[in-house]
Amino acid sequence: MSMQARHPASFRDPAGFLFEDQGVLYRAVHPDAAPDVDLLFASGLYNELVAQGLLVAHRRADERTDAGAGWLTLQPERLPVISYACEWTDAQLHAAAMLTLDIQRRALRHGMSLKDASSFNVQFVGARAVFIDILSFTRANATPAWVAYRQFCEHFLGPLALRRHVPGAAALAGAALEGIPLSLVARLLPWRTWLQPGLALHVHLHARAMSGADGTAPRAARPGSPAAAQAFGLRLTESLEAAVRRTRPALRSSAWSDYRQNNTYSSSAADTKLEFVAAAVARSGATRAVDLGANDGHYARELVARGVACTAVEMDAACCERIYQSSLSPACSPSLNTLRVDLTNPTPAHGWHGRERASFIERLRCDATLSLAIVHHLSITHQVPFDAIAAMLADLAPDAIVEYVPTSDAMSQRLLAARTGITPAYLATLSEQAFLEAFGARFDCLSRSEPLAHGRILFHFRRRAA
Amino acid sequence: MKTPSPDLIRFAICVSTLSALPLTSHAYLDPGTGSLLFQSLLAVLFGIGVAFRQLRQWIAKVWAFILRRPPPGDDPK
Repeated sequence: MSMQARHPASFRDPAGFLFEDQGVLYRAVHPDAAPDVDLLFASGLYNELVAQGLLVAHRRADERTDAGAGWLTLQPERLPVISYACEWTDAQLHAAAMLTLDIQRRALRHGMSLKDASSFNVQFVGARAVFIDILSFTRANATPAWVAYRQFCEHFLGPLALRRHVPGAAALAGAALEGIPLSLVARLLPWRTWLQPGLALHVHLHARAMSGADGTAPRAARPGSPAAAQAFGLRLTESLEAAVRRTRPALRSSAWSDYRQNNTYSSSAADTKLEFVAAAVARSGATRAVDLGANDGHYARELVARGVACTAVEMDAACCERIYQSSLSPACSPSLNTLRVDLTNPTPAHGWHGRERASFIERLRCDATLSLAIVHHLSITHQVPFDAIAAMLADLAPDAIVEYVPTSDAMSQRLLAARTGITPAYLATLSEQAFLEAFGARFDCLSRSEPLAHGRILFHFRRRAA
Repeated sequence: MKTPSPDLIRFAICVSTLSALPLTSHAYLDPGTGSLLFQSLLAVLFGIGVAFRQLRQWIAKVWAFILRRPPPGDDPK
């Protein structure tokens, strides 16, 4: 197997790697790790996890022998949306943490254990958290310690505690590869968190123990009792679950969380808008769309109801939490993903060589984008020119359904009131003519609506072949 | 809430390390020396927790036995 074929994010674990061939994803398993994979299947753990929807299904691709003699090749189910923890709502991170602990407990009961507990091992299929790394499972050893304990605390418990007790602080970590250091979490958390046994133990005391260690490798292990090691592992998992449960996020409100009740559209105009959007999506033939600036996710849910899988992208934390909660309903759950991303500063490519973790734009490519009631925020508040917006939308999908909001609109007026230097020349850059020229450079206009509330107009653009 | 003394914590970690198994790992992930040592302390704490639970159950059983005994005045002659 040539090194070039490896997935750029799959090189840290010597047990194997992902590679892609003709659009199909495979996982090559090193001969040394094959016994662990065999145990996963033979113990019944794999079947239990897949049946419960906790683990991505894998097919044995024995027909592929290109990985080398003795290597095992598996074909994992391919997920439509790849997201990172920094793009998850608090409830999503909570769900991912509970999933990891649930899997660790089930693994321990089958004589196995997770050798890592990275948030990158969890993805969302719609609203459902699912574990993706089959090579994380290893035969449990007889030492009463979980090697992934620190990683779990830095990827899940620490960030969850920060999100719960110091809102906004976790965002400072950005797109971190290794979570948030426990020493930093312990310093940022308020003193009252010492009163919570779970956080006192797994964050505060854990952080102090780590700072006191001199970094030398522990002595060689003496074999202990496997039953005692399993009992310790189960108690540790139970203790972590109790700690994570206490960080359960609460639904908050924000300036945008009630926008649907307080917007400029009348009921009939809103119906007209929905009809246009639905017709445009049907015309595009899209099976997967992205709703940019989804607010409460109304249009994303409408697309899902029409059989189009949708990823709702929203920056406001309270709105995002509401979208995720609504996506938990059986009707939406399989097809509605929620991502909390600031479109003016989306997650960059990061990690080794700047390629290990792909950027938001690379991961979110889809059939169609919805940009409803968002372009004026980007162009007025964030001063992103229309041509730059058109360029990004053209990068994301062949079809773009865009709402143009004129400067005479009440919301535009509010945004403009916060700006200085409003000259006729500046306003001309926000005109419909400027909008059409910018989008016309990259797209053909397939359809436009009649003016809706306050002169807002909907457009269905199709990317022009280069 | 008074923060526990760092010396006390370090002492507890040292004592528990001596009483627990030395640890190592063969994983590709660096588990962190302090984190591994800290789990030795956790093992002791969980052990104390289990001991307390068992003691509580034993006391409850003894108490139930005492309550089941008939009062002295009701003893059959």
